Amino acid sequence: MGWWADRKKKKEEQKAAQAVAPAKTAAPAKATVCEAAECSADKEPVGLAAADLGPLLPGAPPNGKFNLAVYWAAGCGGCDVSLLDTNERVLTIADMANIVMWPIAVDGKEKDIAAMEDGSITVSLINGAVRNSENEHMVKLLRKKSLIVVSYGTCACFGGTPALANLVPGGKDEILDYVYTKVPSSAAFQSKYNSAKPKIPQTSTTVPEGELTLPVLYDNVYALDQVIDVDYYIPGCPPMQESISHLLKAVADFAYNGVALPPKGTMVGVTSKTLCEECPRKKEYKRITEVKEPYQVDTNNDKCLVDQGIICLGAATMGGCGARCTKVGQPCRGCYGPSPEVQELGSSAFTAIASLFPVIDEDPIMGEDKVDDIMSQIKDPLGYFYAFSMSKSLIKRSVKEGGQ
Amino acid sequence: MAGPIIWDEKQKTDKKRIEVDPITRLEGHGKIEIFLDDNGNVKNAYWQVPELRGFEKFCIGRRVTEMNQITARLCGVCPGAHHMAATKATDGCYNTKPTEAAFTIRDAFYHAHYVHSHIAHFYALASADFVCGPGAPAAQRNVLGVVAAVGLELGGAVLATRAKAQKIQAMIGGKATHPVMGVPGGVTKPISREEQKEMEAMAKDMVAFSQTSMKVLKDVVLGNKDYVDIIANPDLYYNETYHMGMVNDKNQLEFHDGPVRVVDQKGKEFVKYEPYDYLDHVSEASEEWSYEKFPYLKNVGYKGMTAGPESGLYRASPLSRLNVAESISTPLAQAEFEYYHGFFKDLGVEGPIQHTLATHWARIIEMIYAAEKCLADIQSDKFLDQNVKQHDVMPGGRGVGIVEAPRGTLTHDYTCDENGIVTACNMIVGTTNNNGPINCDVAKVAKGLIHNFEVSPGLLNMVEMAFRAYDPCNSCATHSLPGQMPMTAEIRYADGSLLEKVTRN
Repeated sequence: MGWWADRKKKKEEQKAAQAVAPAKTAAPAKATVCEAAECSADKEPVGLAAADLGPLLPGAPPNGKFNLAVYWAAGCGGCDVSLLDTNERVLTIADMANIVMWPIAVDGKEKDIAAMEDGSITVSLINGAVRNSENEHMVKLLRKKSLIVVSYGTCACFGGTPALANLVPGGKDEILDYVYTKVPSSAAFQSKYNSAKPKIPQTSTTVPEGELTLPVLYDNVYALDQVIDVDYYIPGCPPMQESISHLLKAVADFAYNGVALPPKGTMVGVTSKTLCEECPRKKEYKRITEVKEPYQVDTNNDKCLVDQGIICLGAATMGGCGARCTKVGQPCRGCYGPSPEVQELGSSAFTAIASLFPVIDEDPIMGEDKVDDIMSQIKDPLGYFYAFSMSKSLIKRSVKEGGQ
Repeated sequence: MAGPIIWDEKQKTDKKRIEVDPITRLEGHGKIEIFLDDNGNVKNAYWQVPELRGFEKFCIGRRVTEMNQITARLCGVCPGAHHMAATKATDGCYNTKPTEAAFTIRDAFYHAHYVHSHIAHFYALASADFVCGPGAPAAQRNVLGVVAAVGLELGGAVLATRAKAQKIQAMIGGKATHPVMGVPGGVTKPISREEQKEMEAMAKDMVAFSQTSMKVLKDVVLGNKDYVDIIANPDLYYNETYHMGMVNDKNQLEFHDGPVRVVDQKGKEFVKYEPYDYLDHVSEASEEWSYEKFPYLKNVGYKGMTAGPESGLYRASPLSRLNVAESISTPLAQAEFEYYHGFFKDLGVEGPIQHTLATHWARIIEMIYAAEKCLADIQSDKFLDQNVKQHDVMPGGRGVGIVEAPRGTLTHDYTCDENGIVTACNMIVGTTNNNGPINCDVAKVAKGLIHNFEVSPGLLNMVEMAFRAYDPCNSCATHSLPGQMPMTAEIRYADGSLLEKVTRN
């Protein structure tokens, strides 16, 4: 399937072409990539693909709207902006549902939610990773009150960028120490005013008027389904706006017309294929002998970035984003998460890339030195191959040697 | 349309404990604590920010060329600003500068970003306080209430124009939220003539809509004497601080590239510094009760939550930028800049405008400037130049990139080794600059409005309006949590016990 299938098919085509008419090898190279994958699709699509629904969402029936909550945990707000990016549809969201909570746009408080009956929120969209005691409290509360919980966006699904903090071996103490005492603009303050003991935020502080408190940070950043049970997933950093419209339509059909929901665990807004298959760039599956970054290449805008020496995670990443980054000349960094065929994004992407080293039968034998040479050109592989999925990786986090 | 509700009914409470958790949006991501004395007057108030993500630390070890994508995730509301500052810092780490074409493309992108950000703030977050009124029921006081009040036609134009600003960013940067176009010395791809034509039409609409927005502000806010009285009242939304903002070589308003200028309480230039020298002028204090830091002018010193010439606290916001700039380079915005300063001069204001609520007005003037500048960039020949990357650049060294983020001066400072791996990282982000002044404003407004144990939801909303003017983005500020201003406010007796709970629906 996907990238591997294409590659195999491509090789078969090349062999066939060589066998039948060696002179024409260049002609079939205009890869029939997508068709091949579609024809050979041997299982149901894993996800609800995003479809164009037009400007409006279905309105509520006269007997009442369903309840919708939107919550942000440790994210950046980009997921909320992606809801605003539904533009005119954002106005129809209020027609179809009671928005009982949406911090960026409307009222709704923790206590109001706590006072609701269990299961009385039809759907909660939760974005952001789980980073502190407060995030954990809120997502557990929403789980209790909701029929359906959707993990919205890459941070909720895989940990996202905040989960790079799991690469700091000393966890929160090391982060606090660096941020408040080591960075130069803070070091200047601490050395001038607090030379005896640096002033670092505390979970409880006594000020002249009374006591002030702050939440407790965790050492680890978690994906949402590592903390609560999740029904559906919408990946993307941020998700495509069609994904949310599609999900809300499915929920409205369920709530108002009794249409069955998709199976639990469904990914929404994704394709069953890899990003490679929706990327318009033409692939030649060239061997990689040198690793480059976009700034080092006068990128050809029609050709595959990997063929131009740029490491792209498209081969291991789930499709659905519309190839937004590769279209403008940046490689995929994997924000949609691992494709259905792969268990773990980083290792699979790494394998895919390594398979393009000159290591196949027809290649001249490559010595260890050459492997080292190519590999060493990949800087910070951990941060790159797990840019968005550290929480869900097999690695999970860095630890100090011999300790913790 | 019914008039706005400015003052609502006060309630006196005799209960021992009041917990106010008024602020629409959830508890926790921001918090105001108001302490009362024995007479029920405000003793002090604190604005706390309860999160930290620690980007400075986990960016160490990453590739410096990744930084403009990693740090964009500081904030999904202003990812464009972080992408730009990070890209400039990365240029520095590679000891290079963008080609002319790349500079112009980045510039067009960034000004489109401003239009999006300022529209989002004014209409989605701030305008409800004025259109519906600070004392209006909370359930109406949101963007949907605004649309109901101003009509679907304007509401539709708001959405359509913001969508165009997003589209221009997406065409250049791949995605508007979390763009990807910046590379050291350039951008990833040149612009085609078809793309340019499409963007030009959208930018023209942005210019027209920004003028419509100015008309809305003038009709709704400046046309209402009650609002003007509140804005101009020196006992409420007013603090005499230093102001910081970027300028160009003519001391004109600048968002993208130039030195940083600071003016004092008299409007006199206190310092003008180049990005690489920022550590000589700015330090960051921390307090035990907030994860957000408190930047201050190093050569004035840190005196805690207090304004005035002896305190190094400064503001960096639209208000500040129009205080440090002597003029604006585009005609429509310059005309509004003159009208704005004339308006305050007529009220007897000499020197910088210290009235926090005027920040909204300054923001609309900036929206006009951003739209005009974006259009000028798109119409420039350099925009279509295909030479968008520098060649033969090598990593190794320090780079400092400063831009004006919509919410204030944004500084990214990285050092990388010869492999392009980050070895040190520091950031001072837009909202953080204003942390101290927001504390000052919140305390002052609370003291000015809450007396003798008398509070109301509307009064508490007016306390919120003190920080909402800054469009504080906690996501950026703590390099932490998202968004605008979800928060809790608690009012306490002198002994620390809570007053009664006031609910705001």
